[in-house]
Amino acid sequence: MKFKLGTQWLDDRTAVTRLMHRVLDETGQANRYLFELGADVTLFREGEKLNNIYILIDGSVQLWKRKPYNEVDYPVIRLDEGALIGIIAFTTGMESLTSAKTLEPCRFFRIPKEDVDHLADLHPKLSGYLDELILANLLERFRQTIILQMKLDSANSKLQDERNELKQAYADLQKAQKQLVHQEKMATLGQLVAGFAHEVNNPTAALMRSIDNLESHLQRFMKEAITEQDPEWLSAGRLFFERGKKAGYSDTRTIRERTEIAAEHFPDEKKPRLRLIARMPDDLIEMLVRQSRAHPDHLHYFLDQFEFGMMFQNIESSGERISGLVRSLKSYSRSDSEERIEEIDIREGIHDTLQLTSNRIKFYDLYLDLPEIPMIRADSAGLNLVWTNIILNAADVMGKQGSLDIRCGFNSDEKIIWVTIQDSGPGIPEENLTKIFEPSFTTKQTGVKFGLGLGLSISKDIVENHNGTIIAENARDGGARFTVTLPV
Amino acid sequence: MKPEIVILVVEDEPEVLDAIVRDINEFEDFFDVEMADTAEEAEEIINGLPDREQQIGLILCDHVLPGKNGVDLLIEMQENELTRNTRKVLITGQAGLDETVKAVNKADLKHYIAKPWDPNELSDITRKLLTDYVIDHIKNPLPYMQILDAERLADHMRQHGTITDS
Repeated sequence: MKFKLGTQWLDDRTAVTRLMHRVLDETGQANRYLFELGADVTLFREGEKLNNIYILIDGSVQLWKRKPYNEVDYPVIRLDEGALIGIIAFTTGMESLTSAKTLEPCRFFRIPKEDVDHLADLHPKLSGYLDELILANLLERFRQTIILQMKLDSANSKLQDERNELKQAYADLQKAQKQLVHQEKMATLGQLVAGFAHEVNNPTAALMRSIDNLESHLQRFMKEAITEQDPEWLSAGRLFFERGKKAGYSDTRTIRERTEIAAEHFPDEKKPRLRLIARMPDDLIEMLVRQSRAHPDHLHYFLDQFEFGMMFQNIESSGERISGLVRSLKSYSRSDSEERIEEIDIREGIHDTLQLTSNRIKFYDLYLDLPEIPMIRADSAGLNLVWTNIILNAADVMGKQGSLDIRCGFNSDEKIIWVTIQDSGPGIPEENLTKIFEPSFTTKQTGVKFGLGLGLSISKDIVENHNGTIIAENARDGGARFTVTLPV
Repeated sequence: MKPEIVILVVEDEPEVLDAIVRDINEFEDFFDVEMADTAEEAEEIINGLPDREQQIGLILCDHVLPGKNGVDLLIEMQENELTRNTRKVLITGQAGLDETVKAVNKADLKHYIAKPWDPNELSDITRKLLTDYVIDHIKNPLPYMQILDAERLADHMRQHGTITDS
């Protein structure tokens, strides 16, 4: 193939069409092939076999390709003067891959397929122009393809980036949502706790006051009822009552052993009474022996007084436990405080947490080393959640036996306080050490009791919001150890 | 002379233990009430039974205990010749469904009492289960007529010829 026209025609193909026009004019055949169309007219449709080749002289044509899945046409390429339309179908003889539609009024040469060879024979010059035009068109299309390829490539990588960003955003959103749900739960819980604490405090206060009143009434009643009796007897009864209130609690083995001793002193008494005597300190038993020798009929009176005292002790200590629990619950959840971030002693939060998780950790040997440390500005309720999560996790792995070692300290060089919580469980498998702070990581097979397996991931967020760190490691002497550091 | 039948109460909180024992006070003239604050302590009492020539008719057992829990203790008792026939009751504030089902299936749990308990319910259950026990395992139920379900005991004795209508 010869290139008669150099390279200029690559940029300006109208020169070629002008030359072709002239040749056809010279032969007088131009009118036969010249063909005009208005705007928005379809030249041919996708899938048709083309019997003509179109050489665009004036105007522009848009090629469309139909998307197979939604039947919508999308624009492929816009062709201007000098373009060959239907070139692929023409050169390959296959069905057209695109539809062609005029964008404005156009002039074409429309040359029937069978005429092309004929014309080329007749006009050797024309054949050369046609070759060059075909080549130019193919080169142009090739150039377009490469540009398209590059566009596609950059679009692809952009798409990939966007997809990754979207993925990340989705993950962030999920995490944020879970946290929000959790926060909402905690906030609701806080309100519930505040209400609950208030509601429980009232009856507890009433209970405690009634007990005080009952005690003084009982004393007065006793005094009046036995007023004609020996005042010494009365004061001895009073003593037994007072000692009953301070009897304390012995373990059942001690009670059993002392019941047997009491039986030696009082062989005629039945077991419930012996058990009462067993709760008395030795000096009181001696006194009881003395008193009952002098007045055998006084024995039951003293025992009753002692038992009254013990009942008062039970009620008071139970009431105090209720108040203590409510107090811990309130301070744990900070439901009585307006400000979330406050100047706090984190050890108080640790104590509250231990109090409130006591039903889970009462099986364990507890070792606490919590010396005085500087106060920090922090979200106490949040940090309590951190301690709770770590402690309950430890309880989950240790089951019914084990120990918990909780320490804190102050590093004055780095200006941080630290807390370590170590259990005596099996430790954390190496491969999980980095994973346990990820959301949704859980080793619990079924029946997660609390939360969503988010405990440690939330703990990490809370600590990091305080600009602190939390790490998990296996202690050299076995067991998992969590270390939290917080800046002062 | 020591009563033949023991009621064993297992509870780790002393105030609660006191309260339970006080609520079944009425049975103490006829039964020996023993207390244990851990499952391990309860096991010691159980192991001492042959020497004491006593049997445990009823156990009232808390679930959450330091060390071994109540359900495991009840299962152990079910597997032990000495205590298989003991009527078993769980008194608890917080045994989950799983644990309770386990107790029913593996320890033949007879009753579940939720804390805080109603003293009348506790007393009724104690009476009913001890009556069952006496009917099944005691040759001469007559002494228990005063404290247990006299009607059922009388029916039983009539059917088994211990007393006759004539």
